[in-house]
Amino acid sequence: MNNEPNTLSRRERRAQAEKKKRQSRLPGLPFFLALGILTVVAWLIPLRPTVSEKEKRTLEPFPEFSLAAMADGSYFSDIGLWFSDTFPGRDGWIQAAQSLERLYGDSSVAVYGTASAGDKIPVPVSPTPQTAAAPDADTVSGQTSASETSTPEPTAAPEPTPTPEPEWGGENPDDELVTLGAVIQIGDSAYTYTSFSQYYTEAYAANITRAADLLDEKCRVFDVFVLHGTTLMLPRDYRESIGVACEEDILTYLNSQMGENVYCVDTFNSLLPHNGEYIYFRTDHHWTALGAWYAYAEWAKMAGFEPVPLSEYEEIVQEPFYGSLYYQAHQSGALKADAVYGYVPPGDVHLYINQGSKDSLTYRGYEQDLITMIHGNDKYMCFLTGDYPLCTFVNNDITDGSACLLVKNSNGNPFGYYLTQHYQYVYVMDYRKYFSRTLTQFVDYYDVDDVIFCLSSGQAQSNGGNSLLSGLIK
Amino acid sequence: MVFSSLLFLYAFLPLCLLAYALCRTLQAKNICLLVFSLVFYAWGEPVYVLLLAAMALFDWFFALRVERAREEGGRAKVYVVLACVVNLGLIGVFKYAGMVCSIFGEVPTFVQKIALPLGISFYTFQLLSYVVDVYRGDAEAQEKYWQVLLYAALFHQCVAGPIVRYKTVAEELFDGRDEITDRGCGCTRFCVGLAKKTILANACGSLADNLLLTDAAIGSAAQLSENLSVLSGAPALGLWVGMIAYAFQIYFDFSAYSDMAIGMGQMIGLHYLENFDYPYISRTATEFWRRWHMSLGTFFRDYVYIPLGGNRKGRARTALNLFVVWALTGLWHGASWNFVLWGLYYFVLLLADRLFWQKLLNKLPKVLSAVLSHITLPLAVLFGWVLFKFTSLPLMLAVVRGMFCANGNAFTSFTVTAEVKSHMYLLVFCALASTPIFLQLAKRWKRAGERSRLAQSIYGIAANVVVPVALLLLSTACLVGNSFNPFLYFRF
Repeated sequence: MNNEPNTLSRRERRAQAEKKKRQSRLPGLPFFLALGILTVVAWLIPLRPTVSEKEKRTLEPFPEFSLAAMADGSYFSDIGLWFSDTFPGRDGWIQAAQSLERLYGDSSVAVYGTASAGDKIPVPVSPTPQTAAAPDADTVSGQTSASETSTPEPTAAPEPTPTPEPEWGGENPDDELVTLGAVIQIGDSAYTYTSFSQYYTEAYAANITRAADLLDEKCRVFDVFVLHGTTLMLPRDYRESIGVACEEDILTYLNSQMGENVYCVDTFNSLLPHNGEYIYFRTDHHWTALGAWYAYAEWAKMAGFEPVPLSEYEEIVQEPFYGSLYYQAHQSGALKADAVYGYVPPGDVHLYINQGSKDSLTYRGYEQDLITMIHGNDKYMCFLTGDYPLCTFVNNDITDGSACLLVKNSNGNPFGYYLTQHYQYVYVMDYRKYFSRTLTQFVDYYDVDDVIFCLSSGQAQSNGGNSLLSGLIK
Repeated sequence: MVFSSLLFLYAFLPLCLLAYALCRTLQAKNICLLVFSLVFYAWGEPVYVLLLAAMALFDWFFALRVERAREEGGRAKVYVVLACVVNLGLIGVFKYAGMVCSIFGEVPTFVQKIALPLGISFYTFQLLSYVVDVYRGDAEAQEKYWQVLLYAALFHQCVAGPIVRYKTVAEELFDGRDEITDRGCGCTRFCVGLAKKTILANACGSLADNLLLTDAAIGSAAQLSENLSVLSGAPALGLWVGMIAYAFQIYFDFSAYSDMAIGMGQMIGLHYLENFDYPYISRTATEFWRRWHMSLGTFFRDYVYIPLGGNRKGRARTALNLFVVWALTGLWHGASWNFVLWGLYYFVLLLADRLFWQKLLNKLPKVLSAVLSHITLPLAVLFGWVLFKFTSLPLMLAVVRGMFCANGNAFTSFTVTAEVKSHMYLLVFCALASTPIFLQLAKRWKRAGERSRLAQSIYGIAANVVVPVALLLLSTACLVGNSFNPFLYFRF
């Protein structure tokens, strides 16, 4: 036995030694291979994304070199940030991580962020008259229903002199996510953790009432207070058990604070019977165009119009859509993608977008498809192509010169489409971006018959939103 | 740079391994390691790399002088004292100046501006142990400065440990090493560490932050009353689960870093001593500290406790020695009084162990003793982590009181229940991973493999292919776009 090695030839011994060497190298090989392949992929710069459509942000750029940044180490840490933020195949990796996270526990219900219901909602002393019964539009402020009037073509008014400055000092109301707070994910849907601020609710009521006072003789003022999906889609006792503010109570309190000359649309009871339908997105904080339609139908009844059924509109579906709540919920894999339904109004309707700071009767901006086809993720932008200072719908089938102004945040975008069936001109103003004229100047200049405020509950209760409204309502 | 970052994984590490593989001689390989180690350190601390180099220079010089003095019968002790003064003086200035100033009043602006150099507590102790070992004759002084610098700056362990003694690595580092035998184990160990950090520690950290407070919020003195209000009103279940999650976070975080350091060492034939040995299965505080951060424990034992007389000079002196060691252990973890309190808390526990607790456990029936000790020790450790996490006494008290609903707080709330339910499997897995159960299963499988060639092949594929590659891929997925990736022990 001892002589056995000597029976092997030198070549065999060498072959055995080589084999042993190869075998001893083998154990680390899969790891080094995987590391090497991923390293090559990681450095294929063209594969690196620069924008995340799902997260609605530009990814970290490669940092610019400076001696100061190098000395304090921030240049190097920024390179690390760029490297990880723009890693090739980012979305796929993130999806894999989410699949892993689903194994952490029972994720049928999860809360993301810090939740707070805010202030206690006071019980109003008496119910609001505006919501109790639909007023006769003809008797309001001595005006007649816009569809029945024959207002002459508006004449050009003198250009307004001072341009109002935005007067807000709080959060940036452009960023609606700021007001979202915590998000609760239940099954395949996410909901905003609703809260109540008495101070800002009263401030909002005061703003809208001031608008109605200022325009008392000129036009009617409506308030369409857009509730969160949480309120409409989850039972009240469940909402109470999870500690969110019940927005139907906020709406009641808000309406009790409104002046008598404000027409408050009941966005709770008008949508509630339809909560089995697709009236709110599963992954986004907006209502769907269908949800907006039910609010519109309620408004139309209040304003003295016959609501035009959705069947008369052309339906355009775009999918998949992952909205803001999806990101707020850390892109939870439990959430199901949405589809965005857009409705093209019947008739000879045109949409004009004004991105600039100036507007006039002779310049409405460029014409845009009524429903824009969005190739990226943010398919909610199919309505008005997003949030611009002023958009104008012109319905050439109506020639009475009737006009309404919709003051809105993004929830108002699908709402504006339905107004085209009742006015020749529908001006859709994003109050966060429009600073050319004050409300009264605008109403005078465009000869507006009705003003409709359509803000989300979150923005109506925000510092920034109310500051901007204060600047506009003059 | 941290090990658990994509830049490290897919730029630094492969480049370093490639350059290392291309080097033919030991010296070339060591120079390669030194260059990469300095780049690694300078990436986060471009200025303080000079401090590291300077401290290595001092200690290289002092060690040489010590050895020469020993050989020539000179006063070697003087140089050891000088080395202690320089090393401890520098760590004192950079780490504790603010704390010391705060005792006497307001901290001057220039002191506030002193940033804590990365890993200073680790490399200072390593360098100090080197000089002392040379003085004791346990190690030979290194002639070449760059080799002392390599020992101190080696990126595997420079910034977060384990605290590697010179005498344990000098031979492999400078005289030659077997780079093949444990390479596969090293790769697997590295991936296990990476996964512990990116999958378990980060998820537990995020849960702890959600249920308690973030470290940034806790550290803000201006937010004290707000923090107090949040914690006082926090449901008890949230506080308990939050603290448990924090306990898992800190264990998996730190042990993961040690795993990665040990794994990377094995990849190139360097063997560092183990730093953790499943501390949460301990039965007493004494055992816990034999299993937790072992390199720090043995450092204090060998360089403080035993030189002070250990337990050989009577009960009172033993108690005093323990007091000094645990006050220093606490202080080592951070320039904040809560760390001192945390250290002294363990001093009390260890003293209780010695005085009566271990005797009591020994007297009880075995099963009862095991059950009791496995309940009391984790609880004691958990309350220790309350002292460790919260820097102010009112916050600590609010948490402890809140855990027993003594703040008038509820037991749970909807959000807390939802949060706990959505992480319950993770917590169970962490509890299992804190025990040697997976290691035992792997060993059993390996033993079974010795009897069957098929089982051996399956084990080989699982251990060397599936586990490391799958963990690498999962860790990468967790790191891409993940903003929650703190490393707790960097601040020490």
